[in-house]
Amino acid sequence: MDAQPTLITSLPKSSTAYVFGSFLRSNSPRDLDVLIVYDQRLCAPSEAYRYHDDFIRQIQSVVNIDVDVTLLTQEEVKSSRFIENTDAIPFGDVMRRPSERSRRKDG
Amino acid sequence: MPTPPLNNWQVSYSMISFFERALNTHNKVATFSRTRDIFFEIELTNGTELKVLLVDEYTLGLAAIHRAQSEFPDMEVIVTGANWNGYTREAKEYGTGQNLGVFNVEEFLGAMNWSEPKKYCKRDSDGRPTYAYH
Repeated sequence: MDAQPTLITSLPKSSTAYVFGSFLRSNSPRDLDVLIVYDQRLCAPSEAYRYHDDFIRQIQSVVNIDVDVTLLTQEEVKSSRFIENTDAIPFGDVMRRPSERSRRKDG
Repeated sequence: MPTPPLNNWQVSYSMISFFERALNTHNKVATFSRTRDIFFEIELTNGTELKVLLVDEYTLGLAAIHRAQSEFPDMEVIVTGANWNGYTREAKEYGTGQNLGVFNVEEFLGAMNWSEPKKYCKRDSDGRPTYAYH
């Protein structure tokens, strides 16, 4: 958790990150599912992985499980209702509040 | 500890095995081969050849398709390998414009019965197209 400020600052300012999937519900998650939403006007889809490479690498360096990254444009997130359908939580909230996982499991 | 990757798309061995079993039992598949762990060259019984990338994206988006095209320039079809997986409308529309088939696994197994697999779309009981949109 000490690495959290670095993780947040390595995310491009025009992008937002969320956590979804089993990490929010399980005591022993198999992987960490991360959604990164980017602005297609500032980052072409063809550049999206490279554009967010620092952030992805830093997540991988601080968690001891597989990290699955989904990269979607703002328009794709809206049309797919991804955040609503997966109950995704802002990345910063999850990293800042370790109790979030247990609270959600209990709830 | 994280599982050592056999491919850099985090496609599991079980998903690859499932896909291979489905190809082995599909009556329109003549032969197929697999390279780079997740890239399949499939020859159909009508002579059509398809170069297919198998991924495991819950929601296949534009960024993943561009990455796949960069890493597998010969790719003609991208399949996200579970029936609960899907793709965005934007990804499907991009694929249509690029003559690239974008399917989940159930759709792809249906597409191979079609004369032009890359253009296949599933239809509901009223004949209306349905897509695995997320």
